[in-house]
Amino acid sequence: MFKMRREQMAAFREDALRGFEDRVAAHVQRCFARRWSALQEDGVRGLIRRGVERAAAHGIVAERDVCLFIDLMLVFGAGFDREQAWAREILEAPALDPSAKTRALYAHGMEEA
Amino acid sequence: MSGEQSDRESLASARRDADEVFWARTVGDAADPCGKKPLWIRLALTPKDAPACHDRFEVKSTDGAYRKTKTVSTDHLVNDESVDLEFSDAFVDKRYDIRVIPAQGAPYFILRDVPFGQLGHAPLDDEPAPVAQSDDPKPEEVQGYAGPPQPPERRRGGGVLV
Repeated sequence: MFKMRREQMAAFREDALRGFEDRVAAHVQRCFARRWSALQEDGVRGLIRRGVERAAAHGIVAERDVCLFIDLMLVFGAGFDREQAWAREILEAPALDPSAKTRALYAHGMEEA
Repeated sequence: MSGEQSDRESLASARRDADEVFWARTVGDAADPCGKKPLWIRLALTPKDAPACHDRFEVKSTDGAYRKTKTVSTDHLVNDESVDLEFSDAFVDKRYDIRVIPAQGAPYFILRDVPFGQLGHAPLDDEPAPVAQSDDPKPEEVQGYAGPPQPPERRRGGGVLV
């Protein structure tokens, strides 16, 4: 009467992802009030969802790291990981683990901002 | 205050805020502080067909600390085109057996002694394959075959989602 099949995990984690999205949205509202006003909530949530995907593409999946990655998207643009040479260089560094990459990105972003 | 300074200050405050609000856990990871997570099994049954399926699925940790059984007909969760069974509060640090208890026929294992974190990737145990006729559809082409699972259809490409 059935067979089992592998599916994307995303569908099963919507609730957990939604919780993360809510917390990042509140974080953006607290820390990036000007951009929150400019993007409005829907725009911020769209950016967060895109940020989760982009960060994951670089192996960045820890909540704190993904949040910081999204912060950088807010400041440098949603495509900063491809458009900024310094970001590409850090993200492609084989010796850095994902958290180290995030720390390096953020440190560099602070200097660039 | 210039816009550039504002961005730098925003990033600085955002980093402090992130340290307080966010954790080292993976995004979308629903594990609670006690190390439990739900385990989902997706079945290729339509929501319409699921109530008629009285097969049961048993998820048991190899040490016996966790053991839950769900009946497809009454416990399924509805998706658009499939249904899931949810086994809540599974321990993430244990290994699991998953057994199907068909409404008719003998129980059989589809996974044995698999760590929780690998459940979504472990291949299902092969079952004895029936003698196939040349014009039989391949198992992966069958979206929901009728009849009891004896002789069992070889289930390929299956998996468990965590």
